[in-house]
Amino acid sequence: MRWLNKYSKVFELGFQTALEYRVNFLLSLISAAYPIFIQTFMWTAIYRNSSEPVVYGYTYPQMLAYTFMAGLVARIVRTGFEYEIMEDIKNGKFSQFLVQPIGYFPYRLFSYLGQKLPNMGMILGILVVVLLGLNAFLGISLEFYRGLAFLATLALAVVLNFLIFYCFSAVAFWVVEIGFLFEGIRIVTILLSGGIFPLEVFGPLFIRASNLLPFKYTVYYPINVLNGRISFIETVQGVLVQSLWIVACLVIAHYLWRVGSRRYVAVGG
Amino acid sequence: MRAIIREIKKHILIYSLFIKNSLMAQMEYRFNFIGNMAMETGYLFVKLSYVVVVYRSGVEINGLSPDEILLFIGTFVTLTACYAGLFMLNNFRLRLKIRDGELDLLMTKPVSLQFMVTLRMTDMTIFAVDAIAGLIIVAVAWARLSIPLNLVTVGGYAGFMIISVLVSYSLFLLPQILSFWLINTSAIAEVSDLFWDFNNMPMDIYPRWIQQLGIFVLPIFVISNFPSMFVLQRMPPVYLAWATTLPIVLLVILRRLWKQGLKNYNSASS
Repeated sequence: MRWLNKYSKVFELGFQTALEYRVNFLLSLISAAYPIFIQTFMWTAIYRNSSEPVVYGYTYPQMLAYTFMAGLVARIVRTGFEYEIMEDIKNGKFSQFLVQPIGYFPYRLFSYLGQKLPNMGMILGILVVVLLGLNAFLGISLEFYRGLAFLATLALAVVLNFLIFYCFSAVAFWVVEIGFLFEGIRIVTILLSGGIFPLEVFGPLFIRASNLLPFKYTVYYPINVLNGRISFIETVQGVLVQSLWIVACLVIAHYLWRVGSRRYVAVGG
Repeated sequence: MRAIIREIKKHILIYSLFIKNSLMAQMEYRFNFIGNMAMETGYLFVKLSYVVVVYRSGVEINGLSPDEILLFIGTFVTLTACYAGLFMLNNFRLRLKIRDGELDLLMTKPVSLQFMVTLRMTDMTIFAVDAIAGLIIVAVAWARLSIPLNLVTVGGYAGFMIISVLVSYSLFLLPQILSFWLINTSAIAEVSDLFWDFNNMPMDIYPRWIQQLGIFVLPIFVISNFPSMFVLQRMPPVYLAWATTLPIVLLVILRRLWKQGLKNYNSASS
């Protein structure tokens, strides 16, 4: 119970931090909107000039729905704590977690979830409006049980993406100044997760390769659960694979942080 | 006339020193240099993903073949080298320099203050990654489209690239000058920077009214569309006239606004 109390405070602090920088969050939403804007016009032009009604396995309404949802879901699962971890290790702030009765992993996880909650609520609100609009104007079907399944897969996707970036952030033990590399990793993972275009765009070989990696389970898979391209059985299978990746990333993160923290020298602490 | 040439020579020499200093500062932290390269390569992959979409669909978009679109994207990547590598850092830091009173010392130098402040920092990693990739993409598209290599095509393309660089310098610096009047313009800086990526695809994907808006009102499309449009012989005379007038108009407005802003500078923190 005390354990829960301790980390619920961390969660609360994360929540307050997210509310503190509201303008920053709204600006980040604008930055999410511009690729959606460009891609909407691009896909409209492609479908208008194509002789086939289906391009890359998607109809025009499906592709527009994917574009909108990818922009928003990628924003929901997005991290940012890796830069804070880099600073903690670089400036020696990590030392306090070695002596205080607070674990660094649960501290980061609860802070991240606390920060995510208000942003997630707002983006999900926007997503509902977008889906209702797509339903009214383009006839995209909305099913209640798919919405519930989507929320479940999205929750797992948020945790999975946290763990993926928690693994990457361990590199800060080996390389002190790593901010630019994090940005490069972030961009590439967005691309690999289907956060820009559906993975079918890049061909079957790319899809086969992405099946071996966890990234597609953070954006591409939850979207396809919602838009009805995945059957019920495939949805359940996907949840299992997501859970397996979460366990695998936990093990990898534990190993990397155990090895990495041995190299920690508390510079500046 | 001789005095003007001497001034230009002096500024070119100083600019080469700016580049050298920035490069030396970047090379000091080698992994940062590699990380920076990785970041820009990541962004490049995103730009190239649009090429994949266009080629694999095999569709002509509003009269533009995939090879023609490749030329537009290559031009955009090359110009990103200039914007992100030569201007962006200075634009972002301008408001900090004004806020912290850093212009005081620079004002005393016998060199143009605008030149010192807006071109001081360069990022040669970003510049190199985008310039090399962009020029390769342009060369591939050029060859696939069998565009003749002569003085008119190459000279015209280069001329329009220079116009694009001047427009991007002026257009993206203009909102930052508001820092002379407003204390915090970070939001303006971030939002205006996003406009750059509207050139990721040719303007032909947008409806006519957005195209006109992006050429004559907020001339963002002039930047990466005009060089390719000229080479592909898709440029109407009115655009040609606008392309030659616009950089002069923007530079004059920029200069006047800069001088006006300087009058408002009060070196509060120093």
